[in-house]
Amino acid sequence: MKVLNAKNITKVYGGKENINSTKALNGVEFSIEEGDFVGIMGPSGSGKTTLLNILSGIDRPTSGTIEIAEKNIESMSKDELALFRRQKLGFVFQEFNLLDSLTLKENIMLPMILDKKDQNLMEAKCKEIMSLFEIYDIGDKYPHSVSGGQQQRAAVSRSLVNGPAIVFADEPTGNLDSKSSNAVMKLFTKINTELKSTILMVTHDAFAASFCKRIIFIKDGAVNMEIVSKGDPKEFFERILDCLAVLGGEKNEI
Amino acid sequence: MKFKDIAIKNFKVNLKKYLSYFLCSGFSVTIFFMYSTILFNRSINDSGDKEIINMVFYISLVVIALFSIFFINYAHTAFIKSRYKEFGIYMTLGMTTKDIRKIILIENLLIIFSSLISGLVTGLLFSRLFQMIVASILDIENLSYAINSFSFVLSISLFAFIFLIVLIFSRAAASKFEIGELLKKSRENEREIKSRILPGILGITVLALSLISFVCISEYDELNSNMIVVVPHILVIFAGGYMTISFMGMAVMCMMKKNPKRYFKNLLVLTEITHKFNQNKKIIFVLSILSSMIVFFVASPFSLYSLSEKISGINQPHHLEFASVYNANKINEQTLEDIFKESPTKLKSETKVEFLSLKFKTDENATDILGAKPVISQSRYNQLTKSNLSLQKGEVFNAITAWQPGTFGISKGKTLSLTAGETSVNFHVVDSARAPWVSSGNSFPSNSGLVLNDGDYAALKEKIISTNIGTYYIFDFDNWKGTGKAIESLKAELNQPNKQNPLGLNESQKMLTVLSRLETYDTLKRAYSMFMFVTTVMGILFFIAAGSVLFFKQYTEIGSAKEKFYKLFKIGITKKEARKILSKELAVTFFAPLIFGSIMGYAFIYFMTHLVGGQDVMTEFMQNATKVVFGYFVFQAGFFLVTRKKYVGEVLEKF
Repeated sequence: MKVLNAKNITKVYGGKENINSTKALNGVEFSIEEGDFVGIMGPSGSGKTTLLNILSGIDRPTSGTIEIAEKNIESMSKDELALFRRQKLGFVFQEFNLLDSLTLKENIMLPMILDKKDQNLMEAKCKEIMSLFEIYDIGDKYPHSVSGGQQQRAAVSRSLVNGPAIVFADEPTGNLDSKSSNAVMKLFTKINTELKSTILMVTHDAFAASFCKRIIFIKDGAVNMEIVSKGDPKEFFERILDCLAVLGGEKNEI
Repeated sequence: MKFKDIAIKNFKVNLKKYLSYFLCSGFSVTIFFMYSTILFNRSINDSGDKEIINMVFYISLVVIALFSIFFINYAHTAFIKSRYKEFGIYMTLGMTTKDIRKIILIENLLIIFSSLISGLVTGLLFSRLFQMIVASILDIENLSYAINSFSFVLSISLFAFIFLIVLIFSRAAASKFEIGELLKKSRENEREIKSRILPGILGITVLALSLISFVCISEYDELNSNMIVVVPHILVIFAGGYMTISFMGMAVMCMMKKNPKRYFKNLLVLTEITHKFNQNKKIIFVLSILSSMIVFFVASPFSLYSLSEKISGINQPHHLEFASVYNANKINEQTLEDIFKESPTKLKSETKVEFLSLKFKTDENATDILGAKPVISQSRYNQLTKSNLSLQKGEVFNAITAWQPGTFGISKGKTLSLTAGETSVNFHVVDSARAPWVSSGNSFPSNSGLVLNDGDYAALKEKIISTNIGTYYIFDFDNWKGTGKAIESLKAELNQPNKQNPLGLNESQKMLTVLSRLETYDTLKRAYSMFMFVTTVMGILFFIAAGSVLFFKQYTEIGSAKEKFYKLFKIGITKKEARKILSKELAVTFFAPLIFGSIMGYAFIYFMTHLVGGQDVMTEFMQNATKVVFGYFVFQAGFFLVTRKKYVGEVLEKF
């Protein structure tokens, strides 16, 4: 079953007819099946983040259609989108974006709190997920008083708590050293394999990307190529590097 | 590109941050300058009320100067704080603290000069309007507009001094800058909140108890004027207020946690407000104090002003009165009748009371203004004051009429000797207490009057010379406000025979003046309007200060709020929900200090009213204070709405 289906997405900044306008996306088209773990890669300025923002309803496309869980999100109003995001989507951001003023547990509950879910349901769901990620015992602590790894797990827990159709991850390893990156990516693999969560991750880190099942490469605002893992991360990593070399630019960065 | 260019470039980029600092300084300069033009205006100095007006404006200037120090310093600090991160980056790139100090100095000099000049120019432009307003409020005729060079000298030197102080402080602070701290400071604003109920409960208990106790002691004359009792009370009230502000949020949060359903429903608002209070407890506390000052300073004179009619009625119960004695104020019936016939308002009642002006002596060496006391017979006293004194032969009752406390040397149980002509007679003082008198105390100036048994009174009357037998003339009219003409002609008439006296009036005769409700009212109203003018200006200044502090606070928080709400936006908060949270948070920050301040303000007003013995008008006083508080809330609400629109708009920009 298709969880996400993007058709001919364009995004133009600065007005359609304007000479100064820039085309960030130019007819992106792909789809994601349930249980998939897709990485989106591309050189800086290729439109990765724009794409992710559009797919997750944070930004709007200039044209094209996006269907998530059989709903057309580009036709929704802003408020409908907000409701849709907290009910159907999960988010993991660079730097985790936990709110410092809330405890880990409250942070994790946040999407459900916003949605005014039943208290017992929230507690149960929270306990289930936090236990899975071994952070249940520290639920009453504040983000700054726990380790970076624990914060990551809390952030991932938060993205899963509402049982999302798809989890969007924006450079989740962006600011991390290789050891922490490895830990985070293992978490993603875990939720993908054990919880059957569908994940869409934007990254420029080839190592992180090698955990994915499938990589879509973007260049100049359009899908350039796509590769699928055969199950061996090492081999997949090599292929990613090759693709990046073909795309240009990014191989030296690793 | 030279160092100077960097500083200038910075100035251009950071213009928005500078703007508030610039406006605060410029505003202070404008206000100060406008006031100083009045102080140095010769035509005011030539007018009748010179001394009062000079004092009023002198005090106002001092207050404005103090206010400017606080205000400019606050604006400056807020301004420097908002740039910590920038300085941190500069230092990382290799600037020394000396360089940073140089940047701060150059920027400040630019702001200071521009604000000083524009402040003076605005002040100059508005001073004419201001002088006209002042003249009409204070009823000063022939005020000619004038600008004196002293105003410039004074304003420039004062603000040069203030800026110098501010600069010295900021330079001292800048030399302690550490890169790490500068970079961190902008982020460390969200600290953990410990869940404790007790301190919050304690705080509010201390506040409530100290307020109640303060109100209670107000009613006791021995306690309310005793600094050792009053000062600790005020300090404890402030401490209680501070504790409440610091810890109440936590306590509420803890209590709410017991009901998870409600707790989670309000989670974001609650944590947001608690954190804001925790971070800004000092600001909120200062705002509360400022608010209490606004309420107190504006409400008291406003109440006095609007109560001047009632107060003049208390101070001067009869519409027109005078005492005729010592050959002064002699008038015959026919003349009186003629005067009142022409009066536009009709005479309602007329009372004449005979009294004796007697020299007196006590063991305590009591004295009085004229060296004599008015003495009245018991039957006449009881009749006119509706009392029922019954004095035996040889007894005297001392009715104290002065507003100052004390018995003025005539105590119960002691002996008082009265001198009539050649003979002195001793009397036993049966009581010496505050009591009504047949006339208001000042028509025959004295701090008390004496009442004697009718027999004793008649005996003394026999012995004294006729000029010491006096008469109180007491008149009431249909409408005391229309008695102006009668007062004028009466005064003219009474002064006439005295004029014929070649020696002129002696000191005692001069003190026997005509008293009227109308004049008392006018004097009170004039004094209160002056009082109100000064304190209202202070109130407005405090209001502006409080408003600016709030504005700066919100302004410096926009960045972190934006970030936070963008996170929430991504997770899926709707604009409506976010706006609701922000509104609630803002409302608490805006109105909590006002509520605290109003409560304290009420307590201070209650206390002050008791202190000056104004229990009679307490209800009206409180009603008027409530009007002021209400007005303050309305103003603040307007201010809140404007800030909310701007703040919410900016924070939710990306929504």
